[in-house]
Amino acid sequence: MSEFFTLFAPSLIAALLLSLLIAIAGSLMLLGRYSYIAAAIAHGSYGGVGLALLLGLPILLGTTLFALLLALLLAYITYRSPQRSDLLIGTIWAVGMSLGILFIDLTPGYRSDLLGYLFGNILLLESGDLLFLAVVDLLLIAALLLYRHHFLALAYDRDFAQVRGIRVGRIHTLTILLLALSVVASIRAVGLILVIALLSIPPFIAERLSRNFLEMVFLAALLALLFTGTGLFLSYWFDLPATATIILTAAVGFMLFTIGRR
Amino acid sequence: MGSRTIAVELKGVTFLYGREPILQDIDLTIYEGEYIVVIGPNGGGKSTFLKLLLGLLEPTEGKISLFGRPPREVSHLVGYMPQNVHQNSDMPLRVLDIVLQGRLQRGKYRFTREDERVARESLEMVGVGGLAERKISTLSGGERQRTLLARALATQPRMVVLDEPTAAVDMEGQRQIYRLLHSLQMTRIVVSHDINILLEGVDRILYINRELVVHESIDLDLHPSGHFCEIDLLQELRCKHE
Ligand SMILES: Nc1ncnc2c1ncn2[C@@H]1O[C@H](COP(=O)(O)OP(=O)(O)OP(=O)(O)O)[C@@H](O)[C@H]1O
Ligand SMILES: [Mg+2]
Repeated sequence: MSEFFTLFAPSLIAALLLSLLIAIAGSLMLLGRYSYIAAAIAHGSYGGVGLALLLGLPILLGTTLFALLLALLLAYITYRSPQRSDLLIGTIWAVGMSLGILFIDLTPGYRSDLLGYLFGNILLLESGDLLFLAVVDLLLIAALLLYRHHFLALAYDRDFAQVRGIRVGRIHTLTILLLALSVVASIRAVGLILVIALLSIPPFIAERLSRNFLEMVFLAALLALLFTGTGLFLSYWFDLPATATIILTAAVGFMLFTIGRR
Repeated sequence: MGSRTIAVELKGVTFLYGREPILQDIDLTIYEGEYIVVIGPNGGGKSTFLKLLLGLLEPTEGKISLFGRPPREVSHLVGYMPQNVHQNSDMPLRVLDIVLQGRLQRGKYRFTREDERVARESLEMVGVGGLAERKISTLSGGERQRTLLARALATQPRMVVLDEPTAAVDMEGQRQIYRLLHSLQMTRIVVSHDINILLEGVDRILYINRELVVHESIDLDLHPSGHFCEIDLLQELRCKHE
């Protein structure tokens, strides 16, 4: 048991930081119905991985810049007609991934670690990754404390928020930029493909059990910690891939919750 | 009416959704303190008209001013109640939180005790003071509608713009809300399909049906002027009065 903790100490810190990120970013995503946009950014960011490789940039830096660019583009597209932009979002999603594949193909040499960006590995995080997670956590907390009423007002009734004089476009863009940063910060731990599931499940359960937003965020953080912690422990015990086990734990938690609610 | 302050002015306003004309070449002046009821068939363009006034939609042609300014700059002076809100099923918001949204402003990040007092008072005014702590997703249709009305009132506005405020409200509630609207001194623009609203202190009625544009009549309930001969709904109303 103590071997588990020494071996997993960095992963446990990562789980803690990740849980906070999931709770805040995931709640913003769920309430504002940004899941599809966040998924497009997550997948589209693969273009950034490819571009960074091609240009010889640090991968995390390249991916971050690329994701932020995608976020701005998506914020612009979805601002005017949020309902009718599904097709465009889907296109950006696919184009981003295709660019990634293309750029990687154009880059000489073979990189075996690329799968890590698709599926992540919470056991292999370096201190830089943890720092990145911590910085994004701080940004999320600051945004939450300052803008939570604005986020909620937009999520509930965007027209009314605009009539009140809220700068709806800015809040919308801020939300998507925060989601992009959150996605990129968690890529190394959970991967582009799995990140949305982990962002969705804890806030979804928490939403149903909470009476206000902060309660929801707090509960989502606890649930995220429960799922990542349990997942890590199970993966250690049964020698399973950690990230996949975490996601599956969350999925089982989600199923139990849904059944239990019936 | 010449000397009265103008609240809303439309000059040659046309609005198209894509290529479909919804409102055409509307000229209209609404004065401060007026109580205006907007009627017309489904799809006639009533909600569109309100959104234009508030700057939520931009006219394809023509010019709209609100208190002499572009609507987007001064819409915060208006208490708006939309026809409906497409809310997520289980949003973690209490009724009070919704009403507090009426106290939100650009650059304001937290609510004060005063905000909460005004919000609770608004809930009382529309007869749902007891619901303040309920989760919004647990409300009935009429209760939710009253909450949205309270939210509009909580803005302490210079004018209210209400899109069918009583559509789901019970008879007693409707009467209460009409009485409330009648008692308010501010400019009121209210869309309604309920003929009873016309009985209480309404100054003018706008009939909006696409290209048929806007018909106006003054003090209809006092002097049925014959302007509305072609409108069955009002014919019926006049019959009621006579
Ligand atoms: N976003 C939109 N895109 C395209 N057409 C729209 C849009 N919103 C409304 N319309 C159309 O514009 C017309 C006017 O709609 P509006 O909502 O203003 O009608 P209304 O008078 O408020 O009707 P109701 O009594 O049903 O509320 C309708 O034919 C509607 O189908
Ligand atoms: Mg309408």
